[in-house]
Amino acid sequence: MCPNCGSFDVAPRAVSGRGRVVTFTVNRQAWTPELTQPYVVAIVELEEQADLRLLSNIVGCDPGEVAIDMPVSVTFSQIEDIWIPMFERSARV
Amino acid sequence: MFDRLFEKDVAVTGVGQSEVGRPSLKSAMRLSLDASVEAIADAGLRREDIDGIACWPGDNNNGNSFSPVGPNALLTALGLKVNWYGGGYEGPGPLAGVINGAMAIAAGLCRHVLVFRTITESSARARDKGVSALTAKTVGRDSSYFWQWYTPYNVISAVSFMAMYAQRHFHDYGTRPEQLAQIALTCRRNAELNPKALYRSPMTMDDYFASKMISTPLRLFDCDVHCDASTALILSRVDAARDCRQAPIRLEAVGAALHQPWSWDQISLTENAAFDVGRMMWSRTDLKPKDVGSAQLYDGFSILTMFWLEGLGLCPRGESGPFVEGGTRIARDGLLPLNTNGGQLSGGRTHGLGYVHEACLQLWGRAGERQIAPHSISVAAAGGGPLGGSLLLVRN
Repeated sequence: MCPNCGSFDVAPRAVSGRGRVVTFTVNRQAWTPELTQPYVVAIVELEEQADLRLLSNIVGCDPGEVAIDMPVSVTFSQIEDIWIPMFERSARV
Repeated sequence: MFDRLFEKDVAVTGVGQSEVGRPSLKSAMRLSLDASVEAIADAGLRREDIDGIACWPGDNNNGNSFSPVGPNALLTALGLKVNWYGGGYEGPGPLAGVINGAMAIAAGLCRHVLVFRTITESSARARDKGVSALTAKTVGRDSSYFWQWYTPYNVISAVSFMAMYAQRHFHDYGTRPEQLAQIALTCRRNAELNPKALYRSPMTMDDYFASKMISTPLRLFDCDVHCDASTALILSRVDAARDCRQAPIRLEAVGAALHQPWSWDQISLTENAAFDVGRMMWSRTDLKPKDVGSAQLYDGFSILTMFWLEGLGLCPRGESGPFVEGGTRIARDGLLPLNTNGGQLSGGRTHGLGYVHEACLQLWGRAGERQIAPHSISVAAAGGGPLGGSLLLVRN
């Protein structure tokens, strides 16, 4: 159900995979023995709709380059039979 | 808007707290009993007077250190004969036990409710650092609801969210690290005078900036310190409170609202639940933010204290940075003394009820060396992300 209007006329829909960084953090604490390198946790808003956002990682760039409002696009990380959506810096401005 | 406000029927009549250990050698149940027995005696009551018991979050996952003792176990150990008891995670944050207990009194179920909160994360972490991960705290409760969306991204600690909230606040309002640092520095200065506080050696701004970066922009000293402790208080119906030992501290107003999704990433990133809670609380009283004499505001992470300052209207939206800058306004002799026992950042992560305990000690003038100027109105608030609740407390 749409929590805004109450409609049940809802269904999955393909999106562009493009968005922007709403906020982020560079994690430096090794919570588990494998997490030795800084990594970026971010909330990304997709371009299709305001506040359509998800939590993800920003990958493929120096964590120091990540900034709020940075354009990003999706990239998938395959773990066994699951493809996890992550985001990388987009060339689009 | 409502013709009856339930909290007007309820007062705090006694408080108690176990030792605050890092770790404590006492069992979780012994800590809970120490706090409870002290609170009951503090109110001038006997065990047989207690006819209700409340706790947030209740018996968490069968003894998990986040809340190892729930109402079922404690009422049994204390030999209480209760007419109402309740616990559970779903509710407006760490003060939910107070709000639920007050509702039970106002609804006519009971007269004197023991509210408690026990936590043993220090000793548990000495065995396994993973036990305090949010994933461990919420197993079997809401992991199926939201946590599955976070763990694939190595979001293991709540600090990931708190850091993202802080980053957005810095971006939107120009808040600076040296402003945020004042929360940690103020708590430490207050902890120096609290014999039960865990960290009491002076902290300088240089010390703050030398502390380890955990997750930008939050440093180690922006994160609270795990402890083993139990805190308890007695809520009494106002007419029954007259029989108690000391001046009742009335629940003038409560805030418990959530007008947003229950989510750590879909909620307002620079408000969390604090503004919803604040608007509700002030709608239930004629008092105003300027009337508040002391503030005990959740500092599980320093940025959350900033959100509470703004959400409760103690400073304008977005201006918590300038408000706390230099630390003068929030010092013990300032305009709005803040977290006068050292908060959770230096005092210990008693998690929620510690703020109410300290507010009451200050209102009663029983805070010892750290006692601030006499005042009759205090505000306590706890929670972060979607969790949030507040209490406006008035000493008669």
